[in-house]
Amino acid sequence: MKRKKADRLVLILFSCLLILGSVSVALQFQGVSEQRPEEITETMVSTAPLARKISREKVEEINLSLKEALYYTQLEKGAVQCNLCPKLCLLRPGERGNCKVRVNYDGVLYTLVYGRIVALHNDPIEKKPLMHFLPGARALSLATAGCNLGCVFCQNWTISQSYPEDARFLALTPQAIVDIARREGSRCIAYTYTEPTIFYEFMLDCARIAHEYGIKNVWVTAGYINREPLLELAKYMDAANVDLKGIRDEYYQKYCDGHVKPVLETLKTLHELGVHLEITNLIVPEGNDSEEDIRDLVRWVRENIGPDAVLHFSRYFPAYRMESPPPTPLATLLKARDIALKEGLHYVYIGNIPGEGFEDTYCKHCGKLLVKRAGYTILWDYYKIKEGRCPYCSEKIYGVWE
Amino acid sequence: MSGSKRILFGYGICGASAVAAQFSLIRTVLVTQGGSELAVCIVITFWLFFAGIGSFVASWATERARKGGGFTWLYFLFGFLIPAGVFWAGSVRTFTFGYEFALDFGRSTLLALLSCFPISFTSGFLFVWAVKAVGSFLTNAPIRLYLSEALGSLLGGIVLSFVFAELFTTIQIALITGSILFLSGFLLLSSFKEIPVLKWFFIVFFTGSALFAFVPGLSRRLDVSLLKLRFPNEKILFFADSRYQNFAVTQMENNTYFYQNGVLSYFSQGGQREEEIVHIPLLQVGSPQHILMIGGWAFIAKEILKHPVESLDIAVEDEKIHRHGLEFIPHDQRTFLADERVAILYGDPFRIVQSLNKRYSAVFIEVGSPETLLTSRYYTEGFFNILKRILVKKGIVVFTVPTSPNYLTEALLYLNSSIYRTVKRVFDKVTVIPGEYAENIFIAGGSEHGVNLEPAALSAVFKDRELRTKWVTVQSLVTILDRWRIEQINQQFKEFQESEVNTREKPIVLFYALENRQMKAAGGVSFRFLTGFTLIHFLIILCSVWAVIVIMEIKLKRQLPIITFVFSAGFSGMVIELSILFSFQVLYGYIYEFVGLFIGIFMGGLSIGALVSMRITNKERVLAIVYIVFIGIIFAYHYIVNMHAEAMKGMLAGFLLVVMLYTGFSTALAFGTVLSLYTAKSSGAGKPGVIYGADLVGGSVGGVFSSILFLPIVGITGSVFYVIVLLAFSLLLFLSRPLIEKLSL
Repeated sequence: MKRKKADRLVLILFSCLLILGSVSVALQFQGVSEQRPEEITETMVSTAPLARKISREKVEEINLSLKEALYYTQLEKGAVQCNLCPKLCLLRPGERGNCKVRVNYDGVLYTLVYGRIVALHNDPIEKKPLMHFLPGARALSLATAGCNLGCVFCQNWTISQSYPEDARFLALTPQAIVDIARREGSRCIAYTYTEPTIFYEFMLDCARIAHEYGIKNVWVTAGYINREPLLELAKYMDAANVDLKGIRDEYYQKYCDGHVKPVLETLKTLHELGVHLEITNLIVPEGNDSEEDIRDLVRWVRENIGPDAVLHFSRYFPAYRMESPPPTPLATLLKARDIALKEGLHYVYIGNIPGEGFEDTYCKHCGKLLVKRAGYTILWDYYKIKEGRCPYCSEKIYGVWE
Repeated sequence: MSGSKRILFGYGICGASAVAAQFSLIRTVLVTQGGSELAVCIVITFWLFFAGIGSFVASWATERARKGGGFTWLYFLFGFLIPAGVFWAGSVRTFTFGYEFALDFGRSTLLALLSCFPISFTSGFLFVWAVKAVGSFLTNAPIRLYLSEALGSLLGGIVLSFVFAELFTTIQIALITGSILFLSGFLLLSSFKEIPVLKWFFIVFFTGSALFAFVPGLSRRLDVSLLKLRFPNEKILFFADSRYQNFAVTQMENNTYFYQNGVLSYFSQGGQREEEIVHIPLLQVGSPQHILMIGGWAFIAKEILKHPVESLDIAVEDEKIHRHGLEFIPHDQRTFLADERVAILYGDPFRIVQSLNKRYSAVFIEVGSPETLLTSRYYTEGFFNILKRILVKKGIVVFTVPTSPNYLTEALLYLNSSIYRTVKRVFDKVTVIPGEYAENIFIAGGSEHGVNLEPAALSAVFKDRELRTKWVTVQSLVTILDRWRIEQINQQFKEFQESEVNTREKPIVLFYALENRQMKAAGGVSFRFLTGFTLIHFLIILCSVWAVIVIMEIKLKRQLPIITFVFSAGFSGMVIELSILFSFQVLYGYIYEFVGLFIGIFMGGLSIGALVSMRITNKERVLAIVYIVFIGIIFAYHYIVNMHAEAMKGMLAGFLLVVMLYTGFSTALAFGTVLSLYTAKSSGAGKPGVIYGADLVGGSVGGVFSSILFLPIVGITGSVFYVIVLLAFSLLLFLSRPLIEKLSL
């Protein structure tokens, strides 16, 4: 009898272990994150999961920055609420925001990535992409680690989804960035690759100094920012390319860990403030490629930004966590371009398909070729725009050309 | 034929069917898990593990079962589960994690677990129930069954590898296996008259599965329905299985996609990547006369032929897939086939390259990322040395390694810099150009000045050759050859010294590539700590586990040293088997027939071992001698592979066969001998299941250790050395049983 009981016990134990093991493996890799602080209920508006904690000592040891952040509210018991982006993270002391780079130590919100640059390149402006802004210019492009969105197809996931303490970085001041831009002949500084909103303080300081030296500022963004910080930033931004990932909120929730409304608000604000604006829409098969989705997006752009809005439809390639579907068929992109042109937009480009003529600029009035490009390169022999106008019909072409 | 002999024969068919089931599961899981070789390792591991667990559970259950006929039921269930389980394995991802997002190690494991469990668990049960069915009629029944299983596996492996794998799709193989089991069950087990209704079950299911397997269109419908789950929005144009892989061609809005083992390899509306990796390097070569392309597709060949080359040799491994694939490539891209400069050499490229006498101006390696044992061979120091021998003086080698556009994670840095350091050992000049499509283009060799990155100079060559391209153009060379990025990345690789050189003996890039895959899917969960694994850690783990076993044995008296020994034998057998297969592959190339031969030899060794174990009298002594000789043999293997592999290459294949045979022999001898010793002390129909289970679980743990830890991190010789240590410890523990018994009194 004893033996039987022992056997049963072993079996039960084994089964429990197997179940527990499977559940824990499943949970571990489902990305279950820390829950929201329970006691802070009075101002709770955010449901964004927080990033893992990091001690102040560790931050100092590895030379991350401890610069006080802008746009936050101090709450009771040392908690703070970050007001930079629509996620509005509520942080108890020691906690870090969803973007991985803003942390609350003793009731003060700090940015960990002020001047902690993980990527610095001198790219052609067409790579941002900006087709109507200083064609042929070089843009000193920079990023820090972290992002306030979680796009599953992110091409730059190695930095956007990285914790600042896990990434190798250069510690640079805003002045140093501007100096590098001047030395390398970059006419602009582009805040790009990840979501630049998360290194807002550094971007703002760089932008101010850049303007002092006549260098333009370019914001390549997902537009996930609150109005107040946006208004301040827009004073220094000369151009922006906003990634409008789709027009449906469900799409944003499923693929990007965000919502569409704040992005649309950003687009409207930038347009109102007169910042040069171009919009990119990555078309993902079976994600946002239906005619209805594309038409709704295009109509929103035409109605809110105007027919001169520059719209880039970009080809999706499987990247980061997204393995399927395969790259967007050319036919889908052509269909999107067709819809946009029929709906009345004047400047529609197709990205990630070089050499087919989809990156060339045509006059909206006479239809003549004005700028021919090969990939990211301007073919100057074919560059016709003069003083921002079509040389054939004198139509004004939206953009910053000189 | 007597009832017990029928069961023995039937169990042999189960052995053969188990091989077919494993093969079908591996093929299926490879497709569902995106071609990850890790998935293969996990399938084999889970198969053995759950078969072992099944055996353990069965040994508990069989002692309590009152009614007979269990084996017949299980036989039927096994026949049913093979096709059903394979279909389940092919569809389970759709119902769980879906195909949209990459799988990390945890999800991958869970999926493989769900895929394997039904069939493998049942197969573990079968052994114990077969013992129960024939135990009272036959002496040495478990060993005879073990022998029968080994012979069945040998026969099944041969038929599968050389007949079925080429002729049938995975679902067909599973259905044929099921129908063979139903038919054999009906013919062999019908003498058991306990449950007459089962006869009808066998007949009905045999008819059903045979119909689905052989009636044209029916099995195809099953295959297509599985593929539709994998590619829900694509039209399936073609699919086939070859010896090496699964291949599918799909279409979406006139864009044709080519998938190998479920992974997108090329698509028709691409071309930019191909232009980049062909033209930038070939513009470096003053006179590109003869070009060799290892792997790769028509798209690359098309670009190469735009240069003034005299000959283009393409070494392709998988003839069947290559030929079928070409039929779906757009006509304008297929024209190169008619070009008389092109010669296609079918066979293992690794082997082909070794036998080439021609001298080439450029060699393109297009075999895919080094994340499998097969592909990592092409990124080793040894292979680069072979390439250097077939290059003209200023010839270049070109290949790509995965990267990310603007920043290298640690995993990518390790992967890229390891290959950089490896190729740098052979070629003085190595330049890396960051490509636009998340790949670094490596160019090794060339002139004494290295790669020319001057757009003006390259533009002149470009114009001179009148190249007609879309992405790499005279104008775009300036942006593609971004000096800033190129200098940054090359400097990074020069300075980074923490990664190891990739050698054929220790394919460390395999580990780095798997780590990169894991980081991508799981976002930050890394296995890097495993690279610090040394013999000291192994010894500490071993001593601790052994101490626990001794203490438990003193307290519980459950014959744990015997179980431990059979576990170690299973573990060692698996590690040595995989090491030998890998050694052969890196020395001689991947030759399908030889891999089949090696596995056959192992099974043959198992059969001899099982036979011998039934006949010996002084079992303990013989076992000790056999294992001491085994340690000696694998020590010699360790020495030869480590020191004299190249010098003794002519004879080494024969020696490897001997080691393989002896590995099988000793594993089976350990099983048979230990089983006799174990059952002599404790009776019960389920006891053989414990030993059988320990053997299988040992094999499964050995499979995991070999694939993730031993082969990539400590290399072939390191793995063998660890096995020697483990066996020495196990033998010592096994022989110390009298002493432990004394202590327990």
